[in-house]
This record gives sequence, C-alpha cells and structure tokens, in this order.
Amino acid sequence: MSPALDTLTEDHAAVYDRQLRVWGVEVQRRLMDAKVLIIGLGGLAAEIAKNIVLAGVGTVTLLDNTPATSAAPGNFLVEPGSAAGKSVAEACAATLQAMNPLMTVRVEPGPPSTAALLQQQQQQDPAEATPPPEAAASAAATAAPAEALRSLVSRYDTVVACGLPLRELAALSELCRGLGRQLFAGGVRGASSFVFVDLGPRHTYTVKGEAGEKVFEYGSFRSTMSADLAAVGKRTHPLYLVLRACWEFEEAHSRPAAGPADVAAVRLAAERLAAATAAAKAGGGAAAALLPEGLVESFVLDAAAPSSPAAAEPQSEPEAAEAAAAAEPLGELAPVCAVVGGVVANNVLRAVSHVGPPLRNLFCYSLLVRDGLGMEECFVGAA
Amino acid sequence: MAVEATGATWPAVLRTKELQEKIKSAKVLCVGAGGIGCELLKTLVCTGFRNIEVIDLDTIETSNLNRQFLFRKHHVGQSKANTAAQVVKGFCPAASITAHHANIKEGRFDVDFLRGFDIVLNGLDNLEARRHVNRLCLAAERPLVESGTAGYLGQVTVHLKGRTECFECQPKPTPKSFPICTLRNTPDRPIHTIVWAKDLLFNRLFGPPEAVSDLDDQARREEQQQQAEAEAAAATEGGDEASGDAAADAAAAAAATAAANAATAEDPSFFLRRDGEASLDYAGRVFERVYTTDIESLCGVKELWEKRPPPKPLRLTELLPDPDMAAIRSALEGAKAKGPGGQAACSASRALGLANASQKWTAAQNASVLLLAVAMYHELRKEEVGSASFDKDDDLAVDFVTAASNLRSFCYGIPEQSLFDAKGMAGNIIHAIATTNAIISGLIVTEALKILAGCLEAVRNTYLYEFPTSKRQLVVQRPDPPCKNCMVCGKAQLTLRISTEVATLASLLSGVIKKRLAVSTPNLVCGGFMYEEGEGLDEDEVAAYAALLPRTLSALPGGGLRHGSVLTVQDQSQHFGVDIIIAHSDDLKAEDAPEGFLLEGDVPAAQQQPQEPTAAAPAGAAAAAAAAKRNANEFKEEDGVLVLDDDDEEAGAKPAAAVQAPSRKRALEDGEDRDGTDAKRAKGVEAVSAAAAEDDDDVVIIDDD
Repeated sequence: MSPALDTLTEDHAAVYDRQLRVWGVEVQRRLMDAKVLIIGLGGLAAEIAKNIVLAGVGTVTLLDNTPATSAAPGNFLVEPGSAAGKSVAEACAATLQAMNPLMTVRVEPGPPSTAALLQQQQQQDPAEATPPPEAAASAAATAAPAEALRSLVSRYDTVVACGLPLRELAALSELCRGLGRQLFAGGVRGASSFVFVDLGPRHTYTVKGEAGEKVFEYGSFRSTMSADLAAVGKRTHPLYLVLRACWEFEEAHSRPAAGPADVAAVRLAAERLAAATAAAKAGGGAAAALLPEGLVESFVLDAAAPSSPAAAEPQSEPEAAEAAAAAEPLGELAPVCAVVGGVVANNVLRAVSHVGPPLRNLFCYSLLVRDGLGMEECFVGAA
Repeated sequence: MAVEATGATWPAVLRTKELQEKIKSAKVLCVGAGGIGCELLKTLVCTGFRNIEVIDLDTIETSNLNRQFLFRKHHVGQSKANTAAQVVKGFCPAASITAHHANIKEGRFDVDFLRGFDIVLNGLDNLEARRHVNRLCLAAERPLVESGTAGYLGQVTVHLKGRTECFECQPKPTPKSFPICTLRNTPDRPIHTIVWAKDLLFNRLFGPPEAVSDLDDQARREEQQQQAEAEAAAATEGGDEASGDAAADAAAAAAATAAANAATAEDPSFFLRRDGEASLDYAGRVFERVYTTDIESLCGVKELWEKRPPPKPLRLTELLPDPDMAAIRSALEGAKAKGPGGQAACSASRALGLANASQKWTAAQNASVLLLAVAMYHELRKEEVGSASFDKDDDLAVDFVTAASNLRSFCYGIPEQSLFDAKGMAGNIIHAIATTNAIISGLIVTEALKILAGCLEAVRNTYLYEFPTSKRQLVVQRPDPPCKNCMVCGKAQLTLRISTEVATLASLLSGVIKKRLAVSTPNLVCGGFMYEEGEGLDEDEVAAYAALLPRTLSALPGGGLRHGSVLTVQDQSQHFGVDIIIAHSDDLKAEDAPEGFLLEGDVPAAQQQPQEPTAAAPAGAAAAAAAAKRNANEFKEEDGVLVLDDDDEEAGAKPAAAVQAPSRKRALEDGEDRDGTDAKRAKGVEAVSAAAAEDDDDVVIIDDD
C-alpha cells in the first residue's frame, strides 16, 4: 500500500475499500483518470460497462443510439419501465451513473457501428471501379461520419466494442492503432465468445512485486487473422479457426456470415484452415478435434439476436414451434456474457492502469468446447 | 423434481424447447444476496429464469457498493434480499422474485421448504451456513451448486447426492485461533496484538461481561493443561535426560503461565468507569494499567523471558506531554459539541486530524487516538458501553483496536499497522471485486442449466485464476464421487480427544458440536445422559438441561462422558447425525489444540496446521507455480492472518469457507487430457500441490458474501 490513501476522498475510500485491498491506491488513481469509450451495448457490453463503472474508471462513454425499447434481451442496464423515448446508451447511462456516482458516465450520439470507416476505406481504395460522377459528393458525405468517429476515438484511452461485424472490427483496430488507443473488441454468439485485444505495438506495464517495466507487443486484428497456421496446434482453442473462417467469409462477401445459408461456406473455410495447421500435419484425429461438432453452426447462426418471445408466441402447431425453436438463434447467452464480461473488464483495468499483464491477444470461451474452456491465445510474434 | 439424468446431450440441449420451458418454470433458491448473489440474480433472469426465491439476513453497507451492483447509496441500511429482489424486477418485470430477509438456519427453511425448489444455488459468506445448506440439500435430495470468491480467485462446485462429493466430503480448514496465553503474555506478531485488542481489551472495556469470562475460562484451561503436561512429564522422569528436560520445560511453562495469569489477574471492575470520573481520566487510568503496570508485572515473571526479550512498559506522561493532552481535550470537546450524530460521525483519528488511513501513526498518535476513542465511547455512545461488540464498519471501534494493538506492539517490538491494514486484519476482510463475482455467477448458472437439462455427466467443478495458467483462465474438473467416509453423506465415526475432567458440557457444545460440527440444534445421547435444544421443550426441561451446562463431561448423569463413551449427536433440522467416540486426554498441548480438544476422523473441518491466506493455483506446472506465487503475494498479509470471513459478515467470529482447491488431482477434465503429455502435466500438478501442501499453501480461500 502506497501512503497515498489520503489522496482519495473519504467517499472514495469508503466505497472502494474492498478493491483497494486488491489493487491498491495507485491503480485506483489511474483508473479514476482513465477514459473508456464503449461502442454497442448488448449483453456482453452491459457486463463490461457495469464492471468498469463499479471499479471506478473516471469516464465511461456509451455509443449506441438503438431505441431502448429494442435493447438486447441480455442488457440488464435498461429498465423497460423508463426506456420509452430513450436510446439504449441513454437508458444504460442512467443506470450506470446511479450505480457509481463517483465517476462520470456520458452518452455520444450515433449508431453502435463503425461502418463509416469501411465506406471511407472503399472510397479511398484505388482498386475500386471507376467512381461515378457523384463520387466527390458521396465521399464528402461518408468522410464526415468517419472523421467524427476518428475524433471521438481520439478523445479516449481505450475503446471497447462489442458485436461489430468483423470487417468493422478490423477497421476500428486500424484506427485505434493509428491513434495509439487501446482496443478490446469481441462478441458473444450463443454459447461462444471471443475477445480481441490490441494495446498497440508497445504496451508497457509493471507487475506487483517485480522490478522494472515490461513490454508486450500487440498486433492488429488483420494480422491476427492472417497469423501463420503452423502456430495452431491441437491445444489451440477451436474458436480461433471458426472466427478466422468467418473473417474470410466477410472479406470475400463484404458482409457477415449470418443465417443457415452461409453455414456451409464458413464450414468449408474452417476445414480448409484446419487442414493447414500444425495439428493436421501431426496426423491422427487432431485436426478434426479443432472443429468440434456444432461450433461453426452455432457461431454463424447465433450471431443474430433471438426474436422476441411475443413474436414467437403465435405458433399454433407444436411441431412448427419445435422446428422454429431449433432454428431460433440463441443470441448472447447470459452466463457466457457474465464470464467473458468479467474477464474483459479485468483486462481493461490492467490495460488502463498499466499494472499486470493483460490478455495477449485473443480470449476464446465456448460451452461447446471441452466443458467450457476459457483460454488466452496469442497470435502476435513469439511469446 | 429430484436430480434425474435425461438422455439430453450438453450443450446441444441449449437449443431445445424443453430446456427453455424448464428454465421458465424451474424454481430456484438463491442463498445469499451479496457479492455473488447480486450477480447471480441478474444472470439468472437474463438467462430466462422466472421463479426465484432469495434469502439473506444482511443489510447493505457502503463498502458493498463497489461490487453489489444492485445496491445504491440510498439503500445503505436496508435488507439485501428485499432490495435485490425489487431492483431485479425493475429491469426484468416478468421475473417473480420472493425475498426473505432472514437467516437460512431458521427453522422455517427446513427440508420441506427446500423440497419446493428444483435447484439450490449458494452465494454464501461463511462455512457454517454452507454446511447447513449442504445437509438440507442432501436431506431434501435437491442439487446444490456451491460457490466462493476472494479477490481474483473463485470457484464453483456441484453437489448431487449419491453422484458427486457433498460439500463436506473434503476437509475445510478452520480459522486459526491463538492460545490465550500467547495473546495475553507473549505476542510476537501483529495479529496477536490485534486479536488481543479486539477480543480482550475491547470487550473488557465496552463489551458484555460474558464475552470476557469465556476467554478467562479458556486461559484457566490452558493453565490446567500446562500443569498436567508438567505432571505427566515429571511422572516419566528418572529415565533419560531428555525427558527430565521436557519435564522441566513443561513445568517452567506451566509456572510461567500461572505466574503471568496471577500477575495480571484482572478484577473486571477495575475496567469500569467510576462515578464522577472524567472520561479522559478513566481512559488514562486504563492506559496506565494495561501498558504500564500490567507490562511491568509480566516483566517480573522471569520464566517467560528466558528465551525472548521482555516487553517494555509505556508511560503516558512521556508519550503525551501536556500540550498533547490539551489537544485531545479540545478534540473531545469538539466532538461533544457536534453531538452524538451516530456511528458515522464518530471517529477519534479524524477528530485528531489523522486523515490518511494508510499512514502508520507514531506512538504518541496511537496513545492520543486510544484515549480519545475511549472517552468518545463514554461521552457520545454511553448507552453501548457494556454491550458493544467489535464491528469493522464502526470507525470508532476500528480506531480503538488500531491504537490499542499498536501500543502493545510498541511494548513487544512488533511492527505496527496502519488503520487501513489493522481494519483488514481485525475485520477478517476478504478482498472483493465485481468482476470475479460476475464470472462466478456465469459459471453457477451454466452448471444449473446442465442439471436442469438432466445432463448430469456434464457437470463440472470450475476454478477461476487471476492469470491464465498454461493459457487457461478457468480450470474445469469432473467432480469426485461421494466420499464413503464422509461424516455427512457417508458413514463415519469421529474421535474426540478432550479432557473429560476439565471440559464442560457448555464448552463441548460451543466448541465442538456447534462450531466444529456446524450443528445448530443439537440433540445429544450417551447411555443415561441426554441433552436437547430447540423449540418444543418444557420450561423445566430447559432448566434441567441448562443446569448440566457447567458440569464437566465426566460428571454428567448416567456415569458421564468418559474414555470410550460413544456420544450420538443429532440435528433434526439438518437431518444430520454422527457418533463421536470420546478419548480422554489430559495432556493436550495448547499449541496442538488451542481450543482444548482434538477432533479426529474424517471431519470436514479439522486442519490443525496454521493456515495462511494464500492461494496456490493447482493447474499447470511451472506456469501454475508462478501464478501461485503471484496469487500468494496478492493474498499474503505480512502476518498470515487468516482472512477468511467475508467483509459483510458480522463479528467475524464465524468460520468461513476456505475451500480446498482440487488437491486430489485427477487429470484435468477438458477432454484432451488423456495422452502422455497430460499425464505428465498432471504429475507436475501433483508435485506442485504436494509442495504447496507442505507450506500450507494449497488452500484457496474463497469467499465473498
């Protein structure tokens, strides 16, 4: 304990007493100075937001203009009773601010998306077909939201983005790298979840009880999705290959894989990737073990939110209801959100305080894989 | 619905309509609405559970607000169960949540009550309640998912009657207690002076009379034990020299204890404030008695100081010259002028301008805080004197204990503590953060879903670590089958080593039956002796049983409890029973048996080694060892104080769960651990945990309300 407890007010010391005993005053002060932007507020983001607000991160800003009446079912921060007329971000902000009045919760206008970055990329891409005559005007129109997003991100230390399509995630990763901002981006799809972490080319941190500063190098999402498959062994979490297959699909089709029609294409890509891994070269059933049954299907199908129970209700024939239930996307499973939201928040706190080694650089968790295995996977250079 | 295996496969079953329906209709009991409980209620309703009952006896404290996210500042002082239920309904109006602001051990929460649920989920903060719920679940044949957290560590275990270990199949470490003679005469660690300040001096000055007399009884028992040791050693004399030495040592120890007890014999009335005595004069008189004359008397007991340096008395007039006394006087007047204003406004250290809780005080500052704290109790909270009990959330009590323990530490050359650290040690405060509780709630609900779906082969015990070890943040293990020798779910007999000539029925009940065996309403039978507690007894029965309490075991009716007697212990409310074989022993050493007895057999409690609040990660090999070290550092207070009780538990006297990490290692059950590499790794694990065990480090102490 550093002798700086008196630099906290009595209110802070009283409310934060138990966690001060875990991480000490210096980390608490750094958390109180940190600014975190959260893009997209579904069930996973709600968990992360709750956790970092309770911890006392100084400023947490929410970006999600979805009407609160259409909030994700797993978002426990939205109270249906007072949701009318508010955006998801506004409804969540009210709850979060009440949860911890010692920090600041803000709302920024705009969609839970970074699609503006993609449009801008397309505009700038010289390989694109000859621009039509109105391109100049259109470029200006898309540049404005992209520029707004760029300026928004630049005002924060750390960005947390949940549920983005993978190409939007990749674009956000490039933006954060360019601006020197930390990124945590992930999603929960049914019983599976991944979180990608990019703390820049040179993240420094200290470890309690160890002298000196340590350094981790992180890679962009794009580089993580094109890492050498020789690094993928039979112990690698299978979700990595599935995620990469979905990424390849998105790159090829300029849209996320979603719905039963896309499952076959993603599975094919996943099988091709699995065949190129070190595990496959080792022979035996190792490559097959990399793609457990149902994982691809679930990851593709459950990306969509489940339809509201009211909509599902009028099913009259039991068999039809049964079939509908089987095809019904699971959305974000709440227990998975709770587990992964806790892990992510712990690592956001490590990242912004520069104390303790944060995840490097992918966290995979799935109830469909080996009893619910939660694993850190590293796809940045040598360990 | 009892536990039934269905043909369903996990996790494909998640997609079935049947499971969705079961989730909607299942009746769930959540025991605890604190750190884990808040998260659990939220995760349950977000998963689709709609019929939930929650029990918690606690009220909300300010220090809960950093993680019990359902609670707001304006809820402080209100019932956790009621508030949690109301807030959850705010964001999930479709959920039906019934709250009980009550103790789970109350008679109305009996086996029939439990049978009304499909599954029981524990988010408890103390071992006693966990064991009680375990027994109720076994009797009611309801599945139990048990959990615990401390700092970054957490665990979830599944208990299915007849299929997996019950909560009590594995021994749970009991909190460390200290021999009274060490606390009174020869402290050598900060925790010794803190426990002395909290349990002895605080109670002597402000607590109820019986709180102190229990300790006096214990001191007398230790003295008798030591005398017995000396006699026993003397009886074997005439043999080799070593036994002569042993006899001499034992005799010396006994004499020292006796002399020390005599030297500091406490007339309780001395510690009462006299009529017309000014509160600060009274405080000064107590100071001089405790830190001057008592220390001087102890110094006079030469036997105690042959192997260690004697303590140094403190003198009030040297520590606090007139200007300091004047400052204390004016601080007291200032506090009085502000009026009582309740506990919240009452702090001696802040009144003296000592605002930095992490800064250690000087001897003079400690003395000032002590005097002012005593005076403030008498001036501002007079009505509590004689009935107060230490509460870690009471600033004045924490001021007093910090100053009183530090002054004693100065006498004995022990490192003193800051207010922040002393509060942690005195309050047995568990480090607690939101993230761990959230993760654990997710894991509890995952296991609950498997059980509801009937996928009983898929249930797992899960352990959460601070850092990934071998890349894994969560280690998953298949639960062991029930232990045949379990006192609770199997057939076992216990042996109790105790002096039947010294121990009384009252001490047997409080120390062994209630504390160690976690029996709440005991029924004892042994030949012609019978003893009962609970409702439904006649007044004359109650009186007759009460009259037996002070008797020694050998003097009980029906020939008494003697060597070889078999005592049958039952608890109707818990549907629990066990036989205890009495083994008379009058040479128990205080250091082996600080509580005056030894309980042997497959007791889910009696680990006698000192436990350190450290945690060793059992998974992986080298990485695990490194993580264990990190975790250990995270937890290790400089002084091995057993941080067991959660912060939100009253009094800190109750044992809390310190759940053993998977020590009987099986290969990690993650589906791939069946090849040679993993076998090797499993061996590595065993080596790590064996090494850890020697250091008493293999205990993951895990608890958050």
